[in-house]
Amino acid sequence: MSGDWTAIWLTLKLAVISSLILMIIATPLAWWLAKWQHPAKPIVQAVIALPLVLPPTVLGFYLLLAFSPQSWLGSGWESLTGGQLAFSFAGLVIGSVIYSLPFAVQPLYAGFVQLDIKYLETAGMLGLSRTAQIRRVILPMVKPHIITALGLAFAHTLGEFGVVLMIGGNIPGETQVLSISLYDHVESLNYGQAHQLAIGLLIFSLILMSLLYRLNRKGRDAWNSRSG
Amino acid sequence: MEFKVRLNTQGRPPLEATAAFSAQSVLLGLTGPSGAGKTTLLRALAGLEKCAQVNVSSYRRSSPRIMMVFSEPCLFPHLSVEENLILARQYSADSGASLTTYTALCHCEHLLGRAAVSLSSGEAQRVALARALASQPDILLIDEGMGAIDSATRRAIISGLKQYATKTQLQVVLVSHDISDLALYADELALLEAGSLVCAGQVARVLGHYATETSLVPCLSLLEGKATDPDPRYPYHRFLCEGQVLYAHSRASFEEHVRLVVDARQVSLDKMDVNQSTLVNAFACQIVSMDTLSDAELRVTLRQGDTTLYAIISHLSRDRLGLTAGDAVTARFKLC
Repeated sequence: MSGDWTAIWLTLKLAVISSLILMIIATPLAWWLAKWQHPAKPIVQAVIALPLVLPPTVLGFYLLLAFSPQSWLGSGWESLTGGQLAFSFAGLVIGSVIYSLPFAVQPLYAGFVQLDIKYLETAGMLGLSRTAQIRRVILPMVKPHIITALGLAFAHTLGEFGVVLMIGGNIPGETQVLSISLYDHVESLNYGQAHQLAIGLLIFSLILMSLLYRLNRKGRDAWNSRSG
Repeated sequence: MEFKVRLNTQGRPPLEATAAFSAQSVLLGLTGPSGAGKTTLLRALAGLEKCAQVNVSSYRRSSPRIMMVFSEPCLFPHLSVEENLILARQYSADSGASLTTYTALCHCEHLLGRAAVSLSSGEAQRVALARALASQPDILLIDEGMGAIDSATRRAIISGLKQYATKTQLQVVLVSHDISDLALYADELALLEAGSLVCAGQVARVLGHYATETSLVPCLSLLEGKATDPDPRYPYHRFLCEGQVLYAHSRASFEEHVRLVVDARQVSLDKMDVNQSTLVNAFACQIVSMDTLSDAELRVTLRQGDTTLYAIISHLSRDRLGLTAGDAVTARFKLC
């Protein structure tokens, strides 16, 4: 059972770190994508959306190749940190970020596209600097989209299995996340423990998604309601 | 205020406009048919058209602070009405100014505590205008930004805005496709057609150009003059135009000066001396010219002193009365 707690802790750590990194990457990326007009835009969008449709094992397979000490990424990492990237927690974080990228980018992209340029022009004419515009106008106006992006990225990383199995394997305390641990229990016919983990993850995910939808419904109502 | 704007980008009709308005003119009306480039011109003046070559100066300072109010109010939806105004004031020249002047002017004191998203479109436009004033610009551009406000409130706001602008040397450019609204309040008018300013200057002159040189409707004339003692029994303004007493509704006046904008279709002509009509206003004048508009109608240009008045009548009426250029007639119209 203590192994399960280690797995739970590791999973949460992975989800928190990955979704924070994702927000840092996805917010400027989505902003740029929303403003960018170029014939190549659909290709970039498709690349970001690939994890939505690809089997996680395909993604995991190519990540494994990229992480191997023979590749420039793997060898570069090794010379930098001394450890290898494949089958490490850092490798898992990189994999999760790529795997969950569309879940963070797409809601933010939608938010930025819907944001009428006239709000920013008004803010500019009022004298707000670029940073003041971001802080006082853009971020508050796309807040519901930020919450969705964060929630989806977190929840999606939490339930990751295929990619982790390919690039992380099953090392307790390092790469053995909840879903892998669950798979392990089933493999060794340990159904009772498997059930505990499964129901725990199910309930947690349900609560998380309900909270997300609730927050967002509030946000949407506030945008449209005419009641005062 | 003086400006020179040139905008020539691919895929859009070119815009070229140069104008100079007198320092005494605080309210400038800009009108023109849809697609003439009114919004683009304002956006260029506000510095929002990156490709435009723009030169604007105000009588307050050579590089004036310009604020534009869009037809959509664009209130920040995550803030309350008051917070929207406070934000504007915070970045203005005088961040300690009281907001009451602006809220009173725009009739929105009672909305301060409301969420911006809870307002009706007319309320939101009033708040947007108050917010623009709170940013204390030197030039305020209003792009059809009052269309959703009921006409009585709108006229009260324009009237108040004009007083405020006179006091603070603010210059306001008001864009509307409704020329009659502008003619009543603007100090100067400008007419934009297909990306160029075809006529700008005194209201009566621009109205004349509008009536005779373009195919645009309505055909309007401006009668104005000094107010005289009102008749206490009626809520109308009496004023002297070319020495003749005319009546106007109270909303169309500024202090000692009264204006009346008359639609040529509302003017009837006769050769009687005695007024036996319910049409209150009678204006003695002379026919200058008659121009056929269609096989049914013609436009009569009438003059008395410096005042020009237009009437649109039928060929039948002309023939029955035997009207010709040079005839002395009485033009009658309702007070409005």
